Amino acid sequence: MISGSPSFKIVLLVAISLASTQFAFGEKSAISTPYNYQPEEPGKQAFLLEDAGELEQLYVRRGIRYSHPAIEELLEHILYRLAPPLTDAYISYRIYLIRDPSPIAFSLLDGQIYLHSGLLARLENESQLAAVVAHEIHHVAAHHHISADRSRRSKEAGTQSVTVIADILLKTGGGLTDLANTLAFMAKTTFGVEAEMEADHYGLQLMEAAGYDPGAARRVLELILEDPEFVTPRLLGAWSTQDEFDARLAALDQANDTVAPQVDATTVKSPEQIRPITRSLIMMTIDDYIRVDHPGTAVGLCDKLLAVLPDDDTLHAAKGDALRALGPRPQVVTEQLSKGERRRRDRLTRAELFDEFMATEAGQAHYKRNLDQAQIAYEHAIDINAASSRAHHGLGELFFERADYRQAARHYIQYLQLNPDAIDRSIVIDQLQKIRSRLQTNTETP
Amino acid sequence: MKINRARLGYLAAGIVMILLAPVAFAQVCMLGECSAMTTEFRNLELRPTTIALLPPETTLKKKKTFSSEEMISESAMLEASLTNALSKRITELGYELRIVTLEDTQADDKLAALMTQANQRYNEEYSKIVAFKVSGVKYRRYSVGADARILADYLNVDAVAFPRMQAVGHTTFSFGGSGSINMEFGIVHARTGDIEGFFGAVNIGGPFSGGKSIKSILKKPDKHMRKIVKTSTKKMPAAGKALKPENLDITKIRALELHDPMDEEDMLSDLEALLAEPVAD
Repeated sequence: MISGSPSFKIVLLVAISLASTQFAFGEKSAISTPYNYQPEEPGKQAFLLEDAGELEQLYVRRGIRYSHPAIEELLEHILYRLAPPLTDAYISYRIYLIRDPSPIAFSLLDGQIYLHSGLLARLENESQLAAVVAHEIHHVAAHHHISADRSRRSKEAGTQSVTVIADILLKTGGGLTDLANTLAFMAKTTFGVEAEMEADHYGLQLMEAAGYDPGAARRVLELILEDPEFVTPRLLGAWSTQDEFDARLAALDQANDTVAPQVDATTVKSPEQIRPITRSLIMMTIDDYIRVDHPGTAVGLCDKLLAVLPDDDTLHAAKGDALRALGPRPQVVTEQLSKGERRRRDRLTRAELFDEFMATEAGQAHYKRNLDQAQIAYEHAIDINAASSRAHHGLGELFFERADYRQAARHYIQYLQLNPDAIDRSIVIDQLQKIRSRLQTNTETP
Repeated sequence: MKINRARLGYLAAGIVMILLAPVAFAQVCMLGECSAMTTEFRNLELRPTTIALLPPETTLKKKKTFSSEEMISESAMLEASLTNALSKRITELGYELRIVTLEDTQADDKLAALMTQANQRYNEEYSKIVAFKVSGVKYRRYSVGADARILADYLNVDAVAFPRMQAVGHTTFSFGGSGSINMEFGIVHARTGDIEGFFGAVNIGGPFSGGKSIKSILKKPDKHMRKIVKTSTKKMPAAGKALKPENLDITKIRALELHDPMDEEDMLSDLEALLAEPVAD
């Protein structure tokens, strides 16, 4: 029994786990050492299999899975290349997408692997996708779900802390939203840093054997950590701390040093080949980031995709939308807010936060710059395609915000002409009616 | 030493009371409602006639961890009971209801996408309402925006109702095994995208006081759902019935710009004429 203060115990446990990790993946852990996947009966953890089956049904029933045949085909192809021979009858590998902007992937005991759209949208090439899939395959093949549950039962308090973290992150004051259902199951599939590092390590082995670039795994962690909004704690903070990520990055660096990648370029899709396949999902994710008030991340995604698809007018228009959504906020936040300030801001609505930012000179400067850049992005979209209805809609909104009602009306009307069955027609008509009454009362900006 | 029998009696009674205190505490059952409406909802200006009731989002928590085996199938059972109770009650109040089911969304990809988007935005506002200030609804603080308006248009209704429920069974830290059910639904109007009405209730109590253990909730889900819905809609006005205005600080109310609906062609031709006029210096 370890005695001492709780913080001392935590420090000691971290030290022990890091030491054991060092032992497991140190000098002796050349990537070429094969992992000997063995069968394992779930035993007392058989309920996890039932859970996995019920969860699969729940996801279908609630429509949580996102269907995208081209991406699904690509993922299945990657899965097929990576999966080791099956050792247990209850495992059957299958891979699904979930529409959720948080950059997460997770697996279940029976071989179900889920990728959030927010993670997939950040990845740049097939090898990075393979790194995520290989990592999850190792969790399943090495029966991490079973061992994690056994260990969790012996320290029940750990799960409670995950629950509390999920509550805090969702800012629901204890009440949980539907998203928390997903998080709850993910909490169950959180394995601890040792298992994550093991999955990273042997994931590289699976990648190497399948002809993927193992170096891609490190880049995946870097992409997950990108955070223009500087939201702390991030959603992924529930599963890994910064220190754990740093330890994983260091271990990957060490493992990569021992690898001479033999990438089969003829069978691995390049970024130029992947982006057109994932484009529509990325566009949807950009809109989701704008919707959940992470426009900085949306701008970043637009820029990455524009590097590959520079003549995509809808993408330029989406960037305009993201910049407009930033409003008076900076594009990249570099200052971490204090806990108290975060809590205070959590209470404010978006409109109240907007007013607060606009009350400062910096906020006004950001607002002007963001709207100017948004206008450039929209106009660029129209230069590429004069019939870009999204760009005209965006310009309508932008000029309305600037109280330039004549320009706003022209773009709104053009939008409706280009898109007579627009799903938001009644909203645009409402805006036009507002413009009409403002022009009648002369309340426009000269 | 001579034992005072009376004192011994008091001591024994005291010990028994101390021992039974947690049980007595757990027996207490509280049923409360919280609701708030905007002025325009109260005075009928933005009172919907037709409401789309979305599938409830339900969470079940058991003991001190998230429930596992029970949660998935049982939450589905609770969702069905809640939908039934809500639809019955809202219809009784005179509103025309369109129930949107998960089967509807499975059959219609567009509806599924619109609902996901509206739920994403609603959940952000909902978390602020329940965690911080229900009364902010009166001041028109909470807006779901275009996503809810588009969904309402698509469903051809005046407003959309977003039900949420959390049922919590015993927890280790709840001292005696109390649990709770809280259920709320916000009504978002198609013309504003704002949460015009918010109705909720909480039912807290121990396993001996009406059954707030997961087991007892699931034994009679219809009864529990009827009870919580009845409490939550206590102040929800009947369709077409105006309520007296509340005393509010009007400087804190978020401005609302509403126009009388007019013929679209007339409005556009008016606008074209205005646009053709020279810009004033």
